[in-house]
Amino acid sequence: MTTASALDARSTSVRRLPPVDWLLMLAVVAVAGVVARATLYTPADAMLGAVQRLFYVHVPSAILGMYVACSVMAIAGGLYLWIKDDRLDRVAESAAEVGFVFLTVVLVTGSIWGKASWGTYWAWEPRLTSALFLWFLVLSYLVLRDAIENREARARLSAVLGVLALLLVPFIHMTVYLFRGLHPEPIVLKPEKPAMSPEMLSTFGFAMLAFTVLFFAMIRLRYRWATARDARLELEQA
Amino acid sequence: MLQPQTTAPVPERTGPPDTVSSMKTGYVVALAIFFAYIVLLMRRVASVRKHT
Repeated sequence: MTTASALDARSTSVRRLPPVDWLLMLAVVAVAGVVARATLYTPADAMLGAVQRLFYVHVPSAILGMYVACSVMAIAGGLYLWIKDDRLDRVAESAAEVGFVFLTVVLVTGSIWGKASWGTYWAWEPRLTSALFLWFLVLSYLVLRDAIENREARARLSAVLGVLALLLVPFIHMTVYLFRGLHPEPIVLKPEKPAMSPEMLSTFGFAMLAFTVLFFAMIRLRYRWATARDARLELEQA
Repeated sequence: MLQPQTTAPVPERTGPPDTVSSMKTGYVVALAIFFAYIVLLMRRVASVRKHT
């Protein structure tokens, strides 16, 4: 049973939602800086030309959308199955949704880059195909959440799907080593030093930082909205 | 006097290919996706605040 003080606390959490999110504003400014630096001041690749500069949005989005978002979704979901704390479920759903946005950016920018480099927007090769599978898995996670009305069942079933989705991530990482395909091997996430010039490497570092701030600002705002949404539902039901 | 027939010289490709438009398209589409999601988040927040 929900007590009056708990309801009051939830009502406060709804009212506390800020009209302007300072972290999100900072992230937007940082991403604008990355775009300016990458397109205007960073040298283009000698072989691929200017399109290689998509690297500074494609790779950070892949690292955050695939490795970070899926890990957060799975760990928070797994902990929810153990502890049954609603906050963990909200963290998992926020990571899944923001991760889905980043994965969409990965697929779209990769496709545009592929058209310029390989002459085709899409190829059914291992890295691209497995990344598309992950995109569909995260989409199905979000659709599943929308389809189940019971809160406990929704959290439990989506947590299981979230944990299973993470199992695909190491396989996607290894596809470029296990199979012969079009996608190049990692330039950053590998045991050796990144094979890039110092200017490119510093722009990449800046991009990684800016998109990380954007990623966590989005998750923070999405989590706060989910908290307020749940609080409102409980207030309506009380 | 007949001039020897020649074909137009084919310029030898030097340097990287011109892929500036692909780069611009990629950045515009990526930023549009992020911007659309930020707008969605702001609208959700505004909706919750309005109905409370």
